[in-house]
Amino acid sequence: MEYVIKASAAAVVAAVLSLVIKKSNPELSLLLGILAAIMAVYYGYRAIGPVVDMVGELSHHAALSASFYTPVLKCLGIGIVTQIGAGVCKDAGQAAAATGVELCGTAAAVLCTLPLIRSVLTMIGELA
Amino acid sequence: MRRLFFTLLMVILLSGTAYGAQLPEEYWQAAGLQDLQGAVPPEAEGVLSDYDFSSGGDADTIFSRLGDQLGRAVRDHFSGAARSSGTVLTVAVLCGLASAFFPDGKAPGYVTVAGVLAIASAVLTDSGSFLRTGVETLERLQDFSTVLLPCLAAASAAGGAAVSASAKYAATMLFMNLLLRLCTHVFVPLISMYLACVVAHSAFQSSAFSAMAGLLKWMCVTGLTLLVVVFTAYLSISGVIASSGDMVTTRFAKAAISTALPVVGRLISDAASTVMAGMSLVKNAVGVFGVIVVICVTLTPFVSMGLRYLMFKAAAAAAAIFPDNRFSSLIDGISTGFGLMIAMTGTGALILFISLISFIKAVTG
Repeated sequence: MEYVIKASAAAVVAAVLSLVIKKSNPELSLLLGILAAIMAVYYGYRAIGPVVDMVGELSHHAALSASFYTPVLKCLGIGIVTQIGAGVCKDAGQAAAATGVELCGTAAAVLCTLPLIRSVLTMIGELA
Repeated sequence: MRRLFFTLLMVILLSGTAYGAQLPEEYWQAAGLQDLQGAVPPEAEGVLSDYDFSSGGDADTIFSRLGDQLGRAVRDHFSGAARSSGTVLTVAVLCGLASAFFPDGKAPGYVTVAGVLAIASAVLTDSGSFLRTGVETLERLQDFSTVLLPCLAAASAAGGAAVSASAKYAATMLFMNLLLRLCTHVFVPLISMYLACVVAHSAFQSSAFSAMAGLLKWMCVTGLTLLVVVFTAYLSISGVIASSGDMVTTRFAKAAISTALPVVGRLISDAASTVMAGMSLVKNAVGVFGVIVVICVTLTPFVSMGLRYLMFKAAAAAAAIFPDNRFSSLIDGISTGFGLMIAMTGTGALILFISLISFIKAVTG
């Protein structure tokens, strides 16, 4: 709960300050926005710790190998970072850069799932 | 005094074991019973350890042992099936949680694809081992039928059904061989392709893969059904034709012996009828024995695959609570794959059951 309050407070303060200085200093306004996003991600990361532990416990009880859920978690992380990165680029009016970040995120996610793709293709080949 | 003497004599003479109800050992040897007992698969040894062919075995004991074996199989495979479906559900829950991190609860496509691939690679290892188990079960059934069916055919032939016995034997062996070949070269690849299409449909949401999976499932189900229908029709038609021939041959033979040899012929004809009736008892006992062996051989594969089928259906229902229905349809598709494996193994058992019941139920003149 406290993480949400801290993150929200930081974001609101940053948003208000950003609005105030936007006309006089748009670069600093953008930097404030980025700072607020980083702080929110940091508090989110602190809050998600117990959830990651719970996933670990759940997978331990289900005898789920880490090789199965690690790519999913990595893709989730890539998705969040990509979304924030692309959002910042869009705020700065850089739509092309935002698309580049999204493309890069997709490529990284495909790279993460490559072992799973290989494993599934090998198994299907062995089945037939 | 004389009356007492005769009474004592009768008591001594009549107090021996009455052997009239039991068949001589030669009858059982003629049917090749020793080979049959030697070919009993390990799964059936416990159930049939003290099976008495002459009395037909104690039904209560056999059912109780079968129940014990069923209970053991359920206990052994329940945890594995639960763990397997738990694994699948855990990944689905993880992906459901992941989608909550994104606006409108829609995760990027690659997160869902990663989840689908994780589920697929966790389950396909199981599927491969179950496909192999299914084919191995069919091979064991075929191996046992190569010993069982000649025994039954010999007993049926000696019981007056020479032509129909050989027709049934040939048909069963032909269809068992055909099924095994079809399973190895057609049905196993079809089921594998079906699973691949289900995974591809869930990962890429392409209706072409869904249609392909539907076609492959239809081909498997129709192929197996057609095989059983053709076998049953062939067995029924050939049985009707051959049984009439058997009845006519037997009656003609009896009539010929009775009329050719005026006094002794009748006695020989009656003796032949007694031998035929005895061999019918042998045939029934061997047939029941065969049915029990087939049940024992198929029990464990059915239980293990059936439990997975049910557990995955339950996991699919549980995964349906998430907004993205890809996981639910993937798990449901995988459970259908297990259903196809059960159908494949069940067809082999069904062909043998139909054949054995046809042998047992055959009525000769």
